[in-house]
This record gives sequence, C-alpha cells and structure tokens, in this order.
Amino acid sequence: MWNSFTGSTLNMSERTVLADEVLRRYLVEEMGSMRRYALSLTGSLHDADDLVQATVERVLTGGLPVDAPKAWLVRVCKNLWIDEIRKRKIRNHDSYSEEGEEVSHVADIPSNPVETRIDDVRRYDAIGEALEKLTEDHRVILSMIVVEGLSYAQVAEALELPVGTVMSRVARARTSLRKQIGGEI
Amino acid sequence: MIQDEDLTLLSAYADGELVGEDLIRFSERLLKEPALRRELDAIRAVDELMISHARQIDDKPVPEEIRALVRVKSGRSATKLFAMAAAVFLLTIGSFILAPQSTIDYAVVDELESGQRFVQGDDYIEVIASFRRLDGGFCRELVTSTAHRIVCRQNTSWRIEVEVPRQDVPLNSYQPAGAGDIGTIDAFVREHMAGSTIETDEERKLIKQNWR
Repeated sequence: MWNSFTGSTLNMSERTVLADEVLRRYLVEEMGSMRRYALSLTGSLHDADDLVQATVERVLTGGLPVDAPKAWLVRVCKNLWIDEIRKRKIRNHDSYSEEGEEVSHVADIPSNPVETRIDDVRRYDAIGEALEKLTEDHRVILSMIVVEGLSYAQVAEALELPVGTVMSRVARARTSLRKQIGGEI
Repeated sequence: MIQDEDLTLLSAYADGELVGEDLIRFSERLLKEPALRRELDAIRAVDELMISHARQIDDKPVPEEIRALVRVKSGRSATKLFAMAAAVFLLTIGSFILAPQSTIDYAVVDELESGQRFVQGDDYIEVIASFRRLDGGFCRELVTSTAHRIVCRQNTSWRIEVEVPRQDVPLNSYQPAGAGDIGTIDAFVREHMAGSTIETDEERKLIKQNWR
C-alpha cells in the first residue's frame, strides 16, 4: 500500500545531495526523531512506521540536500502522509458511499486488526485523540515545531510559507489543540 | 481573555522565536501580567504532553524492514572513496577528535543488534553497525543522544576509540557530506575496518558468543 505512494514532486535537480553512505548514517541518527514525528502526524504506531519506511525509501532514491536535510526530510514525510490521507479518503468515500454513511476522519477507520488494537489503547490517550481532531495543517505544523523541534525558518522552508504565516498558524494550532483537549487533561 | 495577537506572541516565545526588542518587551510583560504567565504555562504543559505522546514509539523497536533500508552497504566505489578521502583530509585539520583511551562499561553494547536502541531515561544507545578491525578485534559504531562513537572490544569491555559530539545543526549551516562527525567516524572506519560491516546473522552469532 505504502509502496505505491507517488508523493508530491520535490525538485532536487539543482541541489547538492548527501552521498549515499552519509545519507544512510544521517537517517539512522534521525530515526528516533523521524518516528516520533511520524507518530504525531499519523496518530498510529503502525502507520508511523509505515510512513517512516516510505519516507526512507523516498529519500534514498531522491536524496536529501546538504544545505537543509532536516527540512526536506520532514517535508517528504509530510507530503507522503498527506498523499496517503487523500487516497484513504477516496477509498473510504467509495466504499462507504454505497452504504450512505459519512466518513468523518480517516484515522477512525482501522485498516487491520493490529491497528484496531493500537487504536483501542490509544482511545484512552486524550492528547492523541485531540491531535486526531486537528486539521492536517495544524497537526503538521505542531508536529514539526513541538515534536521535531524545528525552527520557524525551517518550517517555512519545508512548507514553503512565509515565517509570519508559520508563526500565526502554530499559535492557532495550539489554541485549537487546547480546545480539543478541553477538560480531559 | 487573551487576545489573538498575544497568543501568537506567547506561542513564539514558548518556541524561542522572539528575539531582540520583541523578546525584551514581551519578557517584561510576562513579569507584570499573571494571565500571560498562566497561558504560557498551559502552552508548555500541552507541548510536553505532545512530546510524551510522540515518545511512545521509542519503546517499540525499529522494524527490520526500515533497519535494512538504512544499513550501510558493504563495499565502496573508488569515486566515493576519493570524495570521502578528500573530505576526511579537511577534517583532520580541524575537527578530528580521538577520544582519550577510556574504557566504558557498556554491557548493553554486548547485546544490541545493529539498528536496535536501548533507552534509559533521557539517554539512549543505538548501534549502527559492527565490523572487524584489521587486527581481528571487533568494533561497533553507535550513537547516543549526545555523541557518535566507535567502540572496540578490549578484553571483556568496549573501549571508546573515536567520539564526536552530536549537535542539532541549524538550517543552512549543515556541513557538506563527509564533514562533521560523520566524516570523522568514516575516517576511523576506513582506516581500521577489515572488509565490510558484519552482516545480521553473523552479528547475532557474535552476540550469542559474547563477541569471542
């Protein structure tokens, strides 16, 4: 499923990329951080590792620029996840529309028994549930800044946004997250 | 009720993104306005929860499929060796750090397979690869939260042969391929490694045999 990702096009043609061995070592060093970021994006341990695997495959093929490897790494990861969400929404819409049901959020629909068990555990995790309810824009930017610890400038590069927009968006995302958490925490 | 503009400033302050006069002015306001301080505490508390939530995955081993992808392939092309040698030459001028001949008691290094991570509190040890030294001994490349190291087996323990600090490198200042700690580690590996890195099956045998 994840191997079929197309991902958004990233133009690496005019950038110097890390050499293969250096890239692999870089990915090893970033593995923990990448997995945490993926978990905060996906909300599922199962999906997180699938996403990390897809991301690693993608950057091993396309490379990472030497001048901003971190920003590109999170960007590839984010783009792959957004693509996957779109695909799932289309699939879910197709399958559910026959029964006339409405699909509210892709993560509410477990794809296999393992994921179901993980979701059962996660159900009690208020922050996880609150994150799931955020818009993708808000979840992405909070994951980049709070979990990955990227600077606003790095996020601006990764998302191709002005720094000022990053600043206001992350503030709105935080407000939204707190509203979702409500009195649960 | 805190205004949107102040929420934006609080958020940026919490992220360390306010600088200069903006930082001074807002710091002064924080001293005077308890409501702002409470809001800042709330932001930080939620941030901590987010980070804790994401760290759940640290307890789950990295899947073999991913470890296999990032494992350094054995064998190097002549072109790559030349490029790396050039980078290493530059490194030896400035940043090559040969650790003192200290011995570390990394019992956990005996047991970890390449790609596995041992977490203890805020720190961790993750083994990247194992290899034979030219003299027949064994070495392992590993990272902790603060350092990138090569340790080599000596009697029943592991001695640090190379240690370079790890640090978060800001955007636009990432060192080119071959520079920094990665190049330093590579220099040691190239100088001392016999053949290529040890494959998974052989590594498992060595772990069972306590690296004998």
